[in-house]
Amino acid sequence: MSMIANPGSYSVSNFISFMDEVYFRLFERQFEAWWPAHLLMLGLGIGIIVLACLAKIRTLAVTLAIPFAACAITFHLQLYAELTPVGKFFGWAFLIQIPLILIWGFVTKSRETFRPNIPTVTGAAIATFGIVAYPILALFAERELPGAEYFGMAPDPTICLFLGIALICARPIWFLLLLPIPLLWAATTGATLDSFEAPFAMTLPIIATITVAASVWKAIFHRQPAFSVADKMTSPLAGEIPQMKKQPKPD
Amino acid sequence: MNISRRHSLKLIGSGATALAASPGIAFAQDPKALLKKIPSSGEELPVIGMGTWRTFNVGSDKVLRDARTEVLKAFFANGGGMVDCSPMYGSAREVVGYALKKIGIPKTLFSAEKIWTEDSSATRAQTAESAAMWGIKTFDLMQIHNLVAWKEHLATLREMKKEGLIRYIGITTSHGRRHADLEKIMTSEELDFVQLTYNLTHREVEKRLLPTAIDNGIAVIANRPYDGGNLIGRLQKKEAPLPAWATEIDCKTWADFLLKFIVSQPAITCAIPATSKVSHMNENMAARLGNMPDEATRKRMIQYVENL
Repeated sequence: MSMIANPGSYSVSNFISFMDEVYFRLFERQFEAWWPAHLLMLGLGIGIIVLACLAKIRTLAVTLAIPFAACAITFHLQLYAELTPVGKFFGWAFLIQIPLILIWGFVTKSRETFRPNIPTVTGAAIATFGIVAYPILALFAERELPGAEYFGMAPDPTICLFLGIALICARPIWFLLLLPIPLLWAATTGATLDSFEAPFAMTLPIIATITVAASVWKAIFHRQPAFSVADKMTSPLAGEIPQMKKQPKPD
Repeated sequence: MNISRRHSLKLIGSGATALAASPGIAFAQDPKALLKKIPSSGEELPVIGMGTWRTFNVGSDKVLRDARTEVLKAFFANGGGMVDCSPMYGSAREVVGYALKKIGIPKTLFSAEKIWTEDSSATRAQTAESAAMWGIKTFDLMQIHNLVAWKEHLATLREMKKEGLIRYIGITTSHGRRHADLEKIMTSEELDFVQLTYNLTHREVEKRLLPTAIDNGIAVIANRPYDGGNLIGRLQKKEAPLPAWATEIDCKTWADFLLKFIVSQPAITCAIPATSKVSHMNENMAARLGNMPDEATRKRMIQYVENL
């Protein structure tokens, strides 16, 4: 006998064992316990985007471990796990994400610095959104700033920034290692917030979808590390800014 | 049947003033408050209990724990009895225990818990764990949640009932699931209670399960009386007015309208709405007072809501 009979007869809301009020209180409680770590995380987030643009992959990977660890411990394991086993699951999942990121960081050779193209610009926008937009969305949803979600503390903006960073820096093959846990969280948080009929519930799932689409684009059109001018002339990719080939000096 | 002293006194007290309206319905000391008898013992229960799904799962948040304590206090202040919980409800058991510790254990408390584990050898351990969380020694009612490992748990619960560790045994389902299995169990096993989903828009159980409960002398707890909040939410969102004739059954809010529909069903012993607000608790508890709808009015209630 299974704990859950007729799984098909259940909706997502049947598995959400807490109220929206309680869920959003978790961020207030985290704020009470950890402020001003939120400010430090904000600085760290900006630093992560800079490191990504500079393609300092190893330093980036080590730095990314901090928000994942903070989020896993101060949110998932300390607070969310009190309400649901999902909290414990994602606490460990976020911790497991850290060695995955480190493996990527230490195996990948540093490449060229930021070259604007569709995936990298999309990634930069997503990463910036993760840092800046979430507190603003909370205000639009009539929540106070102490109850807002901040990068490095709350999972949604943390995953949002990470998705953006992956788009900027990671080769498509690495997405298979780096994206499953973030995408699983995106689906979970979307379903949870949607069951509350919370404003902006689909923010992270939409960002995740954009990330997946941009990843596919990257896998198809950006397999070569650089394009020559000649390549660019015939490239079907509108808006692509090519890597300039070194021109021989005229005699 | 092992009945404690406090319950014996309660039985005598309520029985002395009871005015039998039908075999299953009696009015107790407060002549307006509806109590119903548990068929297997004759003990009376207030018809409005309290569920804890979602509402009492607040973790260690002291602010919310204190808020829920106020809700429970309002429940007992309004003559409430049954509090229903489950290991499936996250931290709800601990939060109930926190509130009971602050309030003190009321004499009217009818503690209803559940066994929710596939480990058929864990019946006693989970009961003890829940009792420790509630801060009580024994439960009035122990139910097998969603029929999980029901055969094994039921055997152990019978032993525990003989030993006086629990007073009643029940089995639960919800959302209309596994009705055929539940019906088989109701006819083949000796049960004191069943818990199932029944509300104004989910009345499937009227066909077979409720008649089976009457035939087999089983008390019925109605869960999801507001369809998980959807039903009352829809009505309130539409700003739908109560019908003018609602005053005939002493209904002032949609809460008591919906609850009176449930508890006036002859087979239903009590309904267990859950809430996180004192004002809603007061509205819920009003449903135990005043005139109850008869069969013709119940049909009118269904028609009115369906037309909305």
